Amino acid sequence: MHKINLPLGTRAEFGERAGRKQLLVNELQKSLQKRNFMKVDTPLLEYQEVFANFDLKQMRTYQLLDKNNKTVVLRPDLTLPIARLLTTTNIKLPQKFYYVGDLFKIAKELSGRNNQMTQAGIELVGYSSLKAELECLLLINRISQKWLRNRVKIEISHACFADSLLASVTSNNELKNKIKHELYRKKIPEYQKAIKQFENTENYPFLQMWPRLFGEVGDITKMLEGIELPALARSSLQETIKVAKWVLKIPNQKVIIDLSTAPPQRYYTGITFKGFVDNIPEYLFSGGRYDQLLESFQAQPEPAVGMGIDIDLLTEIAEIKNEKEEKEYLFFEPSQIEYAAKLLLQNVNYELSLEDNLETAKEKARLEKVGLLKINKQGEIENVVENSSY
Amino acid sequence: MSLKIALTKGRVEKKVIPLLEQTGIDCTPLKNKKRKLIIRTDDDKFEFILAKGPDVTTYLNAGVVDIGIVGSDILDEQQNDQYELLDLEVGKCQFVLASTADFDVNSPERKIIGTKYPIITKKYFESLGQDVEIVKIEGSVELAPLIGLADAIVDITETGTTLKENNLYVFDYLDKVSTRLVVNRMSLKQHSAEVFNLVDNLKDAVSEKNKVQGEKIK
Repeated sequence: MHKINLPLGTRAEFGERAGRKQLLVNELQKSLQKRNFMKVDTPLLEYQEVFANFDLKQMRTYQLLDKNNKTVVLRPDLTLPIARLLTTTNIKLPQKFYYVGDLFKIAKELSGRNNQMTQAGIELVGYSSLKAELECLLLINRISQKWLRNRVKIEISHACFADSLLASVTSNNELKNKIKHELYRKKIPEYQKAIKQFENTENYPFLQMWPRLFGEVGDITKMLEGIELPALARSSLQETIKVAKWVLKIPNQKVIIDLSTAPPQRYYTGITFKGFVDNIPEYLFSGGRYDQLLESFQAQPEPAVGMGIDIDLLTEIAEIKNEKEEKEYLFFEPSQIEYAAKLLLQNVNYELSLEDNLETAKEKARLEKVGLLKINKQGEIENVVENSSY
Repeated sequence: MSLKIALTKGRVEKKVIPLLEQTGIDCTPLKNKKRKLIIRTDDDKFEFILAKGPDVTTYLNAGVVDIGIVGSDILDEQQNDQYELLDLEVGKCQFVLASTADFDVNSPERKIIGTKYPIITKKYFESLGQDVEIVKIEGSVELAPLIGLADAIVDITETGTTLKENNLYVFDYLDKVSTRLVVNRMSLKQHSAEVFNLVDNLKDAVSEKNKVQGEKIK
């Protein structure tokens, strides 16, 4: 007997959901192509080494062996294959790329999560100014306006803030990593234990408030009043605030700052950002600057900014306006194929009626409140059922 | 908007209700819940969902509740990655390695260990540099060495009475366990003021309780 169940963590998509997803992807691709983004499609399979820099956060990859017994994986990320592509081709930079594709991560068994996810994204490679970050943030804003009734909140962070701050607190790398680890996962009882030894130092007031250092720009500035930050951390903070203030100028765009969160990936080197909608338990957008990534593929470092969009989640929550259905059924006999061919070409709203006889076709059209046309002996169209939906 | 809190039913629920009351939350509907599993406070500020410990983390991960109140044993075993904001310092107990008197933790053969907590057990024996075979047991773990299913067990104990009554001895003490308040990552972003308000009030309630207990001991 054939096994008919799907493997855990996978699902088939069909009907309305598949249609919504296709529509979103098409619209997104169209708008990016118009703005001169170059489409990139990389293979689903890559050598494992491509993802050496990728933090899977308790998840695993699907792995298999190629014919030379080398481990290949189903890609768990879409940025690293693009970095690999750029180091192995002569694509001229700077360049704006976009992609849409599936990635694979094995979630905890029986957790109800999918292991195959669709992501779209943009990568702006060769651009060193903050304008590249703003291009990503403006795209978030457009998606928010178009499909989410302006409900997306943008969260701005900086990948270097924690390291530059901790450098002034201690030179003990193990301790730095411990503090950062507990801060990022907000395991507060453990975090408090880790910072206790700095109780009598000038850094302690900051260390104590650090896990709560997120919120609106004004709130964060107020919380940091009177606190002297080391030069590098101050510069990361200033850049974060600067970007957040720019974003606030975009009409209908809410923004917060988070100085206590982990960068989405280890390879980020500057401003990072995420986007979420209230009462939705996952981030919808995530990205940031990764200026050193190409270097890890033995190429010249290139300034770059990228952002991923969770297409599955967007499909679930996007509010898509229903276009009015204007289709009409066209009843034909096989011998009238030449007329049918001409009519279908002339009008995209004609859908062939595949019913066996005119009576059944009429019944179906009435039931669906859709018009029915038939081709007469002269090859002309005759109205059989009026469209009653409008 | 009310904060949704998944509360571990049973022992944790009983120990946490006095702390919640101390913060000013009227827990009368929670105490008079009968067979109801979803209980709203009269002021609509909180909605409590009573669940088994391991399900509390499932609810949190799925984002269907904002806060979970659950033992650190379950959080460690489930490798929780949501935010653990407060130790409520109730439901205190400890993981132990226990067995019959003739057990030798340093004997060279590959041991069989019975436990409800395979991940914690694996981590513990890895730290000793030992590879062991783990047998997952759902309840009455103490039975395992007595009936010859395992050489020893890793389990939690509060007073050690059940172990003693079954002629089992503690060979090592592992991590301490207590009840924790855990928050879904996105909920903390979306309802930070309400969550921090509850956390701060509960923190004060825990300190007050410890102070009163300290004075009683004096």
